[in-house]
Amino acid sequence: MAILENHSENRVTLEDIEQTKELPFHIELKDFRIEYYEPAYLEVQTGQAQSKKIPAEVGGEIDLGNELGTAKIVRMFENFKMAIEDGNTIAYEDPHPGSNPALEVQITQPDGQVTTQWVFSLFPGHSHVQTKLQLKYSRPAYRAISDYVSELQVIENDKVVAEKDIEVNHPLHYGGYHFYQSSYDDKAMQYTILQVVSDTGLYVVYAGYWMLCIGVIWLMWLRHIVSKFKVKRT
Amino acid sequence: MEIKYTIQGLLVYMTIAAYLLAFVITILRQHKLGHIIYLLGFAIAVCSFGYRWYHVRHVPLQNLFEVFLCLGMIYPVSLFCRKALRVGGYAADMLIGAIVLFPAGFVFNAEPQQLPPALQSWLFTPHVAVYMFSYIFMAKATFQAICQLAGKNPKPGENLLGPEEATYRIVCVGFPLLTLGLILGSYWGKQAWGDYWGWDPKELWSLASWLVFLGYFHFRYMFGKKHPRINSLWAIAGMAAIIITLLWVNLSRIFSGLHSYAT
Repeated sequence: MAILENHSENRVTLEDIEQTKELPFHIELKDFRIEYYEPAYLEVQTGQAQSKKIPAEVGGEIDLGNELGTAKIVRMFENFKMAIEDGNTIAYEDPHPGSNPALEVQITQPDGQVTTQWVFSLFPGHSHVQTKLQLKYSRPAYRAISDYVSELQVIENDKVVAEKDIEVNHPLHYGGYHFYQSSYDDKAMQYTILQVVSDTGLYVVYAGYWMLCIGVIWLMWLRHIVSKFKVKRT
Repeated sequence: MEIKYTIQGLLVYMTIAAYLLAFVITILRQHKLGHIIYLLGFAIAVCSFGYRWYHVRHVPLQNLFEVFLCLGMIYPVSLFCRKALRVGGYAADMLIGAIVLFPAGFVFNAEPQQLPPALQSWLFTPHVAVYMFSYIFMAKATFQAICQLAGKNPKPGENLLGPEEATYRIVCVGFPLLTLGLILGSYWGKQAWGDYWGWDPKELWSLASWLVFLGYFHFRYMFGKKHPRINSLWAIAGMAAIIITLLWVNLSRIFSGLHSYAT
């Protein structure tokens, strides 16, 4: 099943046949994200050879001191594009292939004046507005992925009945169904794809596993050890 | 083929040198001295594995380099076989250790890698470690099988089993480990992807080697007394399947699948 961020879904596409089935509950995707081993940072120069940095995440905020105010990351782009509509510049995420990582940073000055600024990782120092601040979005060109995380909520009768952040190796189990992190939107990271499995016979399979392991260990290890002890005693 | 000019590389080369020296000295019938140098080589192998562990900061069993580094610590297996099973073959073990470390030293890429999401599970270490153990046992069993085919018997004074019986005993130790590896892998697949079996090439070949050894047991039980040499052929065939599982599947471009992490 595929779920868009901030949407809930209960339809699953069946394997092999192009048919959908509805689950008795909905799954809502709060957020999908990829976590990396080497983090990306927003760095703000606050004075001569002085700077502050925070991990690049939506909602991250830097206190720049009494004179400069605060800087807050309000949006992140993987492939930043701009368009002009009715005389206003609008930034948007381009779903086509390409990479132009950018941050939208909101700077609130002490007198309450708010300005918005975009910071690009590929074009350091490039800025469309004149400010005293030097902002930098630093992130390595290649980073090893540490996790794919989907923050899920199970909704039954308009109530949230379960919550789990699922990752590869950490599936969600609810109402007889297992939800596995399977794939994702590799362009804009707007949706996640989960594999939904219902297997009532699973415990039969696991019982088989146990029987096979115990049987083999008994036949090849324990039986010989036990008979050795018996020989020693007699 | 490349030489590694790092501390890691140096440790690997020192281990290989110690194993080869121990092998030559043992062949020249200086058993005591050979044993001491073998033990020394093992100590260096442990340092090398420990250094790698410290360096990459996760259990170093991720790629072929790390796996072969682990296989190089063969000494406890020889000791166990000698004391508990009455199976010899120390000289052969030294050679197996050196052969196993050779690709780690000269062929495989030692660049440290971060664990991808699929490998971040508590099953990672037991699944791979159990397989490593069983592979070392099966390699020893294969040596005994070859001894039987070549007609080499241990000397009467050594209190060791004949090669056919020795092969059987070691396969008996290794086979449950092989089974555990297969089942842990299958359980892990269920946890990570929701499928306990995906017909991935590595899965397929590990099942094939498991089945060959299963065939060995059945054949030996039914016809083993009549055709003892064919028993040994079964064991050697099993080792061939293991080599395909361990190397060919990862290195060849014909196969690509969930296990093709380690090139």
